[in-house]
Amino acid sequence: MDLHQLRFAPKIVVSVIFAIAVLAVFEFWAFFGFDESAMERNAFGFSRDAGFAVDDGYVGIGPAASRRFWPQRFPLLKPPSLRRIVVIGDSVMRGGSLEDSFTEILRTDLGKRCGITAEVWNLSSPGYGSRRKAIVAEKALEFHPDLVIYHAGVTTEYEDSREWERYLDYHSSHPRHWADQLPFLGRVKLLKVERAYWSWLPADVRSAALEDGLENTLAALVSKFDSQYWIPRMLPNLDRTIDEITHEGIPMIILVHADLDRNAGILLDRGLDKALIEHYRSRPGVAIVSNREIFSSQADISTLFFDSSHWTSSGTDIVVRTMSRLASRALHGSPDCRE
Amino acid sequence: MSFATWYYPMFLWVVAMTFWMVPRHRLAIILFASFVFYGFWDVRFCSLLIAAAVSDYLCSRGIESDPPPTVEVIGLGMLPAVWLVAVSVFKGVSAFHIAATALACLSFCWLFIAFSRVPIDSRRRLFLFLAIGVNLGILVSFKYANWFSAGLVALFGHLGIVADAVLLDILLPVGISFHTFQSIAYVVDVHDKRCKAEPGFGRVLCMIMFFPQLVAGPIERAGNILPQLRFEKKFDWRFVMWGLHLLLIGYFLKIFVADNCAVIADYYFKKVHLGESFGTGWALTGTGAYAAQIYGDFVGYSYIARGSAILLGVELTRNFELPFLSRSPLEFWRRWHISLSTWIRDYVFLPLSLSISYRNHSTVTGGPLVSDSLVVSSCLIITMLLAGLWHGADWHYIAFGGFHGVLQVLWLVVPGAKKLSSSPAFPARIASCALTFVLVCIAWILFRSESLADAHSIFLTLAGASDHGAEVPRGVILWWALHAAPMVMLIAITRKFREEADIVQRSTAVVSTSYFFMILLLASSEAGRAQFIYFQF
Repeated sequence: MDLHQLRFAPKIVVSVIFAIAVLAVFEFWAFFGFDESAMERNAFGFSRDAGFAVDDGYVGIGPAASRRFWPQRFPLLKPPSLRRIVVIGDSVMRGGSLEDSFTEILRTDLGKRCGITAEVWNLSSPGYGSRRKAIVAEKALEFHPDLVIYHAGVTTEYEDSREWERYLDYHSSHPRHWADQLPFLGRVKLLKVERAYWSWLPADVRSAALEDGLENTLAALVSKFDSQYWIPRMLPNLDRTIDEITHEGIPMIILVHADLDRNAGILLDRGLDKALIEHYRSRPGVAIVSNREIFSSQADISTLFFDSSHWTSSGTDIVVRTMSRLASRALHGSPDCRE
Repeated sequence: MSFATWYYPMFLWVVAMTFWMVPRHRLAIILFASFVFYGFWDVRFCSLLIAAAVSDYLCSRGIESDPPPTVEVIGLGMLPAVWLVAVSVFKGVSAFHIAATALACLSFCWLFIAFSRVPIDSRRRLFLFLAIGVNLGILVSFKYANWFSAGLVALFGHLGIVADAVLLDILLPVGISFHTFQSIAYVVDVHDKRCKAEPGFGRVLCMIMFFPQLVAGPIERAGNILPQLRFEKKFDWRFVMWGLHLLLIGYFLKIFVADNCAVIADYYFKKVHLGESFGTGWALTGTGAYAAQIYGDFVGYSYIARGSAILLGVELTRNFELPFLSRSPLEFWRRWHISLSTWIRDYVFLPLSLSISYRNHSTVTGGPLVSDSLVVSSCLIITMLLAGLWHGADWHYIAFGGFHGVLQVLWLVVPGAKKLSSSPAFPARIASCALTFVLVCIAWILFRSESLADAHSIFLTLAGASDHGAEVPRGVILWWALHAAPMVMLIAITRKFREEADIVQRSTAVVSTSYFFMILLLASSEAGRAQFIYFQF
């Protein structure tokens, strides 16, 4: 047997020990040096604290750990005259930019028409369904909001469910994730994913390389738009969120999502049906309005959407006007807004 | 089971532990592990491996001495059919497939018994042909049948005859080309008395099925592997260290380099096939990414195979010797997929060229009919065409082989090319390396493209003839550079040695630093994202 390389085995042992020792030092450094663990970073949106940072008397909100919040900054303690409204939703409420988003337009509208000085926190992230919104709401309650606006839509339950499976898989003790869960190596991987994979590679290159087994399994199981399947899975999370918010004595407005069917020219409820809307309307401290109802008086609804779900600026304006009235009623007891 | 799955290292660890702890049953342990390993893809195809092993075992014994008794021939000859019947209990096997396999087994037995009655001098050759026939029969049926069928239909179509293609619903068994070539080499070596026929069937089966090299080589010679499969070694901790060293380099090359470069290469070649047009930058990046991918993939696989084998005390053939540092296409094939190139040299090129040279004499003048260089050139091209066909049943593989054949001939007959490749001057060394690398990359385009038309379109883009497509984003180049650069550094560090694993000959500081970064980079990548390229062959 010609294995002359075997004579290098002692050198391999020394080198392995040295490399592992250096890695161990980095692991300790990462473990003690970072507030947020790698596990927390890879939370697929299910981390309670991700995206929130309290520092120097301010609350910083920003994108982190699958939370694509717009960067925002608010004082931790607000003056009594300033109302704090948090908006929890998905891409519809997040908007294409913070300036044009529902939250900014609502803040301006409340000030102009209703005389309410408010800060409106945009805590919406694309693809967020009831499970992740519940966690965001839990976190938001730590900052004592005066009002919570909650966007209820069933179309994101699919993504939520998929990401929840991923979260469970990632946080399991499966050997596949052992390295990812280490404080240093996990962080290195995350760094590469965030700074190289997502930043450098165009979306079509990424999607061509990605064969998402979970996506395929889920797609084979059920359609994203199968409300009958997803609504029963959404309700327990919605109930939990309502309970937690109302238990704190904070008023809540639920905006039920509707999709535009361009071919038929009609709006379809993609959240709760009429019976469920009535059920939640009866709950104390909860106001509920359907997007379909808000747009029902408009002559041409197709101009209010730029795709089937997301509103144009005129659509947003109409929703904001209704929401301002409801917010005014929730905060002041009357819809005291100028037309 | 793929080497790139998370459970393979655990499987290997369990097998190695059992192997060393139960020394009396090592052959059985390895055979069982090999069946499990191959069964992960499709347990039914184990019958093909059994068929090859039965044929090799019986024929090699028939070639060397008296054939085994009829009872043994029938008992072993029917094993593939028995296996199919057994697995049909839990895996769908149609009655037709069982019947066809049983018929093939019976035919083999009948031929074997018939050949056994022939006088010894003729019998040896008949057994050799029978064993080669069985192995090639399996290969052709499973790998080339549909291609031949479609080709015949096309040919008839050109002749104005309408024919329906009888395309068979045949799955390609993983690694079929590798174990077929290994089987053929064994019986030819026994016939040519380069090695002795193995008296135990289990060991022949283990030679064909030895899981570290089962699906993508190296294509071992019986003279090297069979004595090692007696598993007589005692445990040596140095096996473990050397094995771990090879495994680390292999996984680094596969998971960090190959799988990440595949993101770009696969995108580019797939989109070209769909008819999208790209600019020259994309063509260069896509080709470069594929060069890094195939290198990392196959070299990485070979390291993992060798590392796995050495954990069991078996040393497999070195399959690569820094091929991208080659200074000529001839040298490239001496350094790339060495076990295939030497197989083809020994069992195709040399017999073919010697046979032609032997007959290349004029009976009138006594001199050669055609020049020796023409004979060698023709044989080189034929050999490389066959090497191309070995990779797959498609014209672009044949073009790949043909292109390499032409390059080799050019380096033989063009004095300037030979001179450039052998000059010791530094600029000539750099120029010849760069030229060879570029030519090899051109060949990779033929290899990777899904059709000759795709390759043609890429060549046009590279030549600037159709540079109106999408330009490559800077991020794509960065991604490629990020994943190819560590591989280039590893090659640069080990350029004075024979392979990347020889990095151990550098100082402890270099080895430790390399280990640290390899672990770091490995951990930054998703394992098991892509299958090994050579598994499909």
